[in-house]
Amino acid sequence: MSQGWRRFTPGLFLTWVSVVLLMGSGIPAGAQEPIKVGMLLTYVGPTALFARYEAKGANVLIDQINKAGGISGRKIQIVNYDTEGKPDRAASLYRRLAQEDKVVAVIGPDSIFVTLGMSGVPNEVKVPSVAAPGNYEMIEPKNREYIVSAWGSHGYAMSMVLAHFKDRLKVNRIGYVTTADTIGQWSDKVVRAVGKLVGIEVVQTVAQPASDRDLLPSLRQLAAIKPPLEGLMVYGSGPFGNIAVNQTELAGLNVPVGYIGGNVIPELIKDIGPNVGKRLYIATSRLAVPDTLPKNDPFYDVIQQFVKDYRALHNEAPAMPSGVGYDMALPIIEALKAVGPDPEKIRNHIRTQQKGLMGRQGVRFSRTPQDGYGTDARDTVVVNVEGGKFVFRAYLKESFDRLKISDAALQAQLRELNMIEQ
Amino acid sequence: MDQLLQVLFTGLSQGGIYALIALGFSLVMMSTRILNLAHGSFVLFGGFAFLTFDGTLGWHPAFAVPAVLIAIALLGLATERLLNFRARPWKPVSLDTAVLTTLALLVLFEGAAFLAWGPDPRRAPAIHAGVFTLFGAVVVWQAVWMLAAALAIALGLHFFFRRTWSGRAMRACAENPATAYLLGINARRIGAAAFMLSAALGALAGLLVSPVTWIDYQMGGFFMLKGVLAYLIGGEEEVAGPLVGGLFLGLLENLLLLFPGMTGGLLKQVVPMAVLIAILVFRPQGILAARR
Repeated sequence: MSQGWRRFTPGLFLTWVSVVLLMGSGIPAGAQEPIKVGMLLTYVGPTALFARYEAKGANVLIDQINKAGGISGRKIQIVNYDTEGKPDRAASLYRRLAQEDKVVAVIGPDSIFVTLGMSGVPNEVKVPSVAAPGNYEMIEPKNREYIVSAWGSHGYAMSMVLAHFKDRLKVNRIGYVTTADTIGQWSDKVVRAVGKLVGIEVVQTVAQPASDRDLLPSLRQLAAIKPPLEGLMVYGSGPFGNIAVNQTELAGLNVPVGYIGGNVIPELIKDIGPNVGKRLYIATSRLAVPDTLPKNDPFYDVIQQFVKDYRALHNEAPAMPSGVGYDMALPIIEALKAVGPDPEKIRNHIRTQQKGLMGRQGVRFSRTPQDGYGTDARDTVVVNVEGGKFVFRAYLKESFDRLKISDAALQAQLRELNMIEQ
Repeated sequence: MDQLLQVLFTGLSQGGIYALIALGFSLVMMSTRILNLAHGSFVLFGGFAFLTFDGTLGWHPAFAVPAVLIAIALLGLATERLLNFRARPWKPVSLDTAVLTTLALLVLFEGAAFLAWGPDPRRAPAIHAGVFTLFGAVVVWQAVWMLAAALAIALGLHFFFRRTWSGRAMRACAENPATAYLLGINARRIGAAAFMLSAALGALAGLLVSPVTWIDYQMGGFFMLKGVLAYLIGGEEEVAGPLVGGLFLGLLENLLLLFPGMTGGLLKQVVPMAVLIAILVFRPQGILAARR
């Protein structure tokens, strides 16, 4: 045996073991425990298309924070679960995130269907959720205390494309196609309210089950109305929305079509026919049109940087929901920086301290205890579809200004529709 | 009037697909008395396989369609072999066990579809794209194919059951498998043939309907439900029952859309189930029972 082995004392051995263990654990000596943040999205089913973009968008921010050394030296660790589109599963996973994984906040759930079915849980476990339901106002006020929405161009905001219809397209009478379910029924109420605000009459609503794939019977009902309708609104995510929009041509409804729903992604928009795309108007967030957004737009640089960062991390272009995902993570990260990993303080910070937070969708968030959206619903862009891509057409707010719709009238309607709590 | 015609055309074409699916249920029920709930997966796989052969690989429909039908027929055969793995002519498989196994297979096949084709809704290319106008109603060409296929298959099956030895053997197996066995009919082979033919019919329905409805891996249950509804409403008449049941269901669903506002869409989801309950209670043999 060599002299070296004789000098291998127990103390030296313990030191060696400690070094090996630290190297093996991947935690450098002196590093702190990571901060756990939950991610609860839907990776299978009809809404999975949007959630995958949201997850990637959120990861852009988490990746940047971790590469910069974390928050106060602590990295962010995402604990990721799949709701599979089932509210009951989402509820039990949320409890698991809070009670077993000990996360400080949750990115998700995503769709209103899932969020509605488990909306009491965040309040029950006292862990805040930054979700992405497009109809957040459908959640009971007491359950909203621990949930906010990061969907910038939500259902109400998308319905506001009617201001563009009235102002630029001189439309006065429209029909409405929606899904025959609770959310479709609510959206009918919203569209009628927005129509009233901007001076457009919703002559008739038709509804079919969201699983239907032939909407000609309903569209032909609208086509038969005399005098003819001057415009049409369509609600529905996934194939339902696309089929309804495309079949307007077959039904002889060659009028401007406004769309409300989640189909603001390349996979679904590619199926929109060329003739329909030109008369399809969507009020959405700026991130939908990074290439055609005016260069003097206040969000131009932020969005271009986001597109660059997203491409660098994921090797693909972002879609609008990618920005939603980033904006779901953003308030949690900002709160963690300001108040540390305390769920209650994070909730309070998101609700009271974050003013004018610049989201990567191209909207600003200023949430309050009464307003879990925290956005100006008029601050969106109107886009068309050309060559399978979204193209910038106009700023919606300009139409509101020209129509001289007062802030007071808007605020009254937001309260009436429960968008802002009384 | 235009609206009514539109509803009738749409209802008939959707009813054609329901009828095709119901005929698949009927074939297997007639030969084996098994309600094959996995049949919805054959419809699903038919759509996805056509999407792969025609849409992704670029095969001409003249090759893609037979390839899909053969592939799914073999899947039907595999299903039958699994169900009857321990069955013997004198000791057929328990019907309860068989139905539960097919339910489990439906879930398994949907999982397989998820792994093979992913979670997103997809759309197969249409065999005949475009539309035409008939008496003011817009008719989608693909829908004409759906209805024509249902009528042609129903007619073909009618002659098959009445005029061929195999068809009569299938009916004999349904009436009394033990007697059929004693008469020299290989009930197992007949059952296997019924599963294959039924699966091919399901695949045909799938490839015809998927360009219109889009498909995702979870739709096996949807197709199964519509097929079972049509089959039970029509009754167990070998061909006429499923055909009439399918067309009735398609027409009923779409006629309800004539109710204004949200009402039509809501009724469309509820009324067919109410009709099924009424039929099961008051006329369990189906709406064609009076003809017997």
